[in-house]
Amino acid sequence: MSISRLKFLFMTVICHLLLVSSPAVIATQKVEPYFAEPFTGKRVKNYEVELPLTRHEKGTFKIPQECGKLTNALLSGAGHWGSRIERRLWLKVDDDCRYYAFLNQSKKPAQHDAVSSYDFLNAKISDLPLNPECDPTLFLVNPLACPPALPGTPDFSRLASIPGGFHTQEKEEQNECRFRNGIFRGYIINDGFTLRCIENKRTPGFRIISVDFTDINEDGYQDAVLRMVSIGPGTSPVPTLLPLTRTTETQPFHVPPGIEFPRLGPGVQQDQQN
Amino acid sequence: MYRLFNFFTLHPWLALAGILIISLAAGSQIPSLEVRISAEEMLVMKDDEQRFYDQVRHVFGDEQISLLYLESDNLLAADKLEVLERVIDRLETMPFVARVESLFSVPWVKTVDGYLDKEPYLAKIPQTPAEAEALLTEAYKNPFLQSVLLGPDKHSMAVAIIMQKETEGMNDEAITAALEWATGELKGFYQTTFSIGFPHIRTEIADSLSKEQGALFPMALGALLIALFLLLRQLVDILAPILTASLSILWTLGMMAAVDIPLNVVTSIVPILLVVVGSTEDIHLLSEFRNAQRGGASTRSSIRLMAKRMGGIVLLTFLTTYLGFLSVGLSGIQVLWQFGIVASTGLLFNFIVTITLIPAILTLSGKWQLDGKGRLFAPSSKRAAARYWQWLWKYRKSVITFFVLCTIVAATGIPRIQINHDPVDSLGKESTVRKQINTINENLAGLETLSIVIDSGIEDTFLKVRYLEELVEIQNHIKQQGWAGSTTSFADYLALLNGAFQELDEPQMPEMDDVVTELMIFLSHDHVRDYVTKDFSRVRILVRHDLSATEQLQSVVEELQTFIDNNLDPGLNARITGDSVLTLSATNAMVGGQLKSIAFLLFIIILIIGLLFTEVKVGLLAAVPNLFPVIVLFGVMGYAQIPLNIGTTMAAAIAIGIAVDDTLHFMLRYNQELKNVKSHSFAMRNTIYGEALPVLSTSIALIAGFLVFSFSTFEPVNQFGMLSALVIAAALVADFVITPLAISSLRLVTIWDILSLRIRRQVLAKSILFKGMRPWQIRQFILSGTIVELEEGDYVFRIGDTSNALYLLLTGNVEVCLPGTEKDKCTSLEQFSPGDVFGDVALFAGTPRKTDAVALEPTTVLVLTKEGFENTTRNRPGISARIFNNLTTDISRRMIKLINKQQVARKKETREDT
Repeated sequence: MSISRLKFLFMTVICHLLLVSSPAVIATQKVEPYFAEPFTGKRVKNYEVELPLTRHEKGTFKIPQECGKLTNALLSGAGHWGSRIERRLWLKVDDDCRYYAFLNQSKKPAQHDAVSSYDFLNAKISDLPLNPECDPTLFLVNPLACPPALPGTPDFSRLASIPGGFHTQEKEEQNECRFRNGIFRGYIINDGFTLRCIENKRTPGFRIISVDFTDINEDGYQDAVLRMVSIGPGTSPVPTLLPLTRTTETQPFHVPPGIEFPRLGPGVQQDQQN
Repeated sequence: MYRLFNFFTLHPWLALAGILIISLAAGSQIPSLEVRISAEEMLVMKDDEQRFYDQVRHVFGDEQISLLYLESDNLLAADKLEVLERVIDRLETMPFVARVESLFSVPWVKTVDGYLDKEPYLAKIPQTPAEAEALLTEAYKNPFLQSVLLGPDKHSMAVAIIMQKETEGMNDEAITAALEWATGELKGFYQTTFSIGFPHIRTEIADSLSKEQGALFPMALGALLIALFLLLRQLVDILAPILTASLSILWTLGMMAAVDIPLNVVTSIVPILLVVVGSTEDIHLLSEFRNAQRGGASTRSSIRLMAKRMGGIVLLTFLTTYLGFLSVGLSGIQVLWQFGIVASTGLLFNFIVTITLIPAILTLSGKWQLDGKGRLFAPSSKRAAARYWQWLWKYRKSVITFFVLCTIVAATGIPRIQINHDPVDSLGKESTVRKQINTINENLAGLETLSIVIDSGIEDTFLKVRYLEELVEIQNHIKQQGWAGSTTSFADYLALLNGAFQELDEPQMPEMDDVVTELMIFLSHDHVRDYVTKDFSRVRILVRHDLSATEQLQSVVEELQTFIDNNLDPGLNARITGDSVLTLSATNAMVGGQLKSIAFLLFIIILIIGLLFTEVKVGLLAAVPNLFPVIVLFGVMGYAQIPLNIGTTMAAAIAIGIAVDDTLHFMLRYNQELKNVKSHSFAMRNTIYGEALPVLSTSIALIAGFLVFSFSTFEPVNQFGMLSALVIAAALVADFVITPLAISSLRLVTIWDILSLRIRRQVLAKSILFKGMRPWQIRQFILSGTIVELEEGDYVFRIGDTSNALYLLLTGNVEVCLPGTEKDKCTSLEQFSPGDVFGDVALFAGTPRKTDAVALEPTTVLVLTKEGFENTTRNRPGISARIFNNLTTDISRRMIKLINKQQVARKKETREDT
């Protein structure tokens, strides 16, 4: 065997090894989202939490590293122990693990990316699928005519229904109906011609608390996962998810097809039961 | 008592040695005597309210906080904050400081990019006045800062210095000094700055106490010396009371040290009180001694006479004063209880020292005299006493009317009495600490707190909005009432957190239970442990206020309790507690204790005097001159708006305890005089003359001594002194006006008289008058009479005298005779021996005496007046019927005897004729 042939074989093996090992490399590049740390509410990438395992026993979990251990504990019924707050904490930690798993379910990297360059914290309302299963105009004119929001996704119908007695003399934004620094508070009006927004600090709204990128449905196109919480009077701080994708940068966003939303928070569970 | 006096008269050196040994033992204890001031001492001991509050403090935390107050037009100027931060750093390194809370540490609960952010308000120093203003505005929205650490005008703020529970090796003085040193740097930067807390208050009180003791004690001694000098003019008599008082103070302080009772605002007045009160018995004893000495008796005889006459009285008056002092502790307030124990024990020591030392001193030095002239024992004084009594008797109706009017006027002032149990009032009006507390009360929420504890008994109750709204409703009600500077609860913390999560401008309560639970996973229980238990079954609403006036506080608490009772969910139990409520409880205990101690004392007075004089009526009459000063005291307090407080509450009981001594002296002297002279008028005149010097001198000494307290900077002590002096003055007037009039119509029979009657029991039992009567019936009846002692040759009655009594011969012999024409010749009609009754015929016939009755030897007769018979007929008809039956039998027997005598005489005449 000549040296040149040996060189070729060596290169072939290296290339093969590289090709074989590439999925493993992609798999280690996990998406690492932020979490709200229990008891402090601080924005962290990982945290430690102590949870009751039985009536008298407690266990410590590092999240997200020990999400598997947490799931096993939950499956063995540990989530029923503890006080009302501890039981709710089980759910929160489980939500964090589910979200982590949701982001990291894809084994393949995205081949095409038409989302990550978009400034989601200042997203135009018109770019978002306010109700993916309904015509946007119909949704804004009569949200009740549309099916309810998907479980675990933000319910924008509240923004489309101006309550009686609300004064529309508030500051109106006709041109820039959009999120600002991750916040939108106000009402969206579609008069058939234009999209108008009435912004008001005292009205309910949404805050985008994080934007994570991954190809959830493994279709080769990068997706953005917006985690949002309702803000304003009478709202709950349970996060909701709005996964978005598009194939070109000129298109409006839509929900990536074929994905299953993780269950988040007790409210969502209740909605699902309803 | 007589034997004790006699023993110490015979063994004076033994008495002195004993006193010296005890004094040395007491003196050795004094170095461990502490000056200790605490807020708890003003509260009721083992009180249900106290126990509940202790539980609450155990559950919700018990922190001692000192405040660093800062005032400036530009609170958050960079240079000021730079210094403040340095001072806070310095404070945090101090061993007695657990932590420091300020805008540098209190979290500003908000969300940043959707995540909770709890960075302190002053995590970044504001760079411009506008930034500072905005920050202050935001901070003021936080209910835990609003008026608590930040004033509404934004020109004042406070730093809370939370003390370690155990401050080993650090006393209040050291802590105060350390805080002053640590915060001194701020003085050049803030317009007003000071640190204030319990260590400061206690230090100031302790300092003032030490200074006052140094100043007031010599003043009290001086006042007593001057009073004694002016009235007694005897060197020994002046020094003896001072010596007995000093020794009893030494013993008392030794006892306090031994049983760990500290010197505090109230117990610190005991030494001066002992100087003042302890000297009164000495004066009475010495006065009696000098009186006997002046009558020509030797020193020994004078001491014996003094012991005989005054021993029992001194014991009784000690007992009443002792009980008066002890009764102060009935309120159950720790400081008053300590006072009651210390003062009464001090008085007991004084009594022991007095009965030991006075005979010993008089034995050794009684013959030494300064000039020997007691001004009030001059003959002119006797005339003045007689004139005074004549005048008093003549105008008795007007005088009584005047006193009744005075009493009515005083009584109408009683409802105006205010109650104040604010511990801060212990400090003088000009006290720096008190002014600083007032500044905090004016500019911040106030240092007073109360808690409303709401209990469901069910876990997680207060994670439900429905029940949290109950808290909000109560808090809103309190805010509407306008008396509270700040109210905070678990609901406020949730509102703060919810407002942050919902990104609202203001805190807002969550509207759903799930949201509450959701919020709680971002909140450590440690942050809210002051407000809610770990199982969320119990909560506390903390109310800060500046109400120190007890009546205002009482009405506020009552109104709040009514609101809670009417509006709270029936499944919840609410109870108001806290320092303020304990203060109220102590106030009620103080008022209750006041009434109890006065009632107890009056009962004791009535009981003792009633027993002593064997008649309840006498006890009741003796209570009148002592009740009068009490009514005057409360009337003056009402009109002059002097509140009932920890000091003034002692005045009435102590003063009655002291004032009754004079009444007792007066009555016992009157009783003695009555035995010597048959006329009530003479007896009273002699009583006034005899008691004028000791009563007047002790009263003046007491008034002067009590007035010394008016120099105290502690308001309650100051008011106590003035009011006690007033009560003693009123009691003095009552003793010389009401007491003579009240007892002049009484026939006083003391228990000693009754006891002496025991030896005559056989005489009484065999008397025809008491035939068929039980011993108690005999006793009841003879108490209506008066015992008169006669010397040989004294007349029981004379021919022509008005017949208003019959006589029962107890000892000796009496002859009834018809005066002849010749001088000193009397035709004997009958001789009477013990047990016989005479003088009854003329009494019931209603004619003047037809004979003379003369004592043939030293004789004792029981005089039973017509009025006494009438009273017995009216009140005890059974006894009366038996007495009249016996008298009829006796008269019949004597008639038959007389007839027989006549028949014998006639037969003799007939025989002589024949």
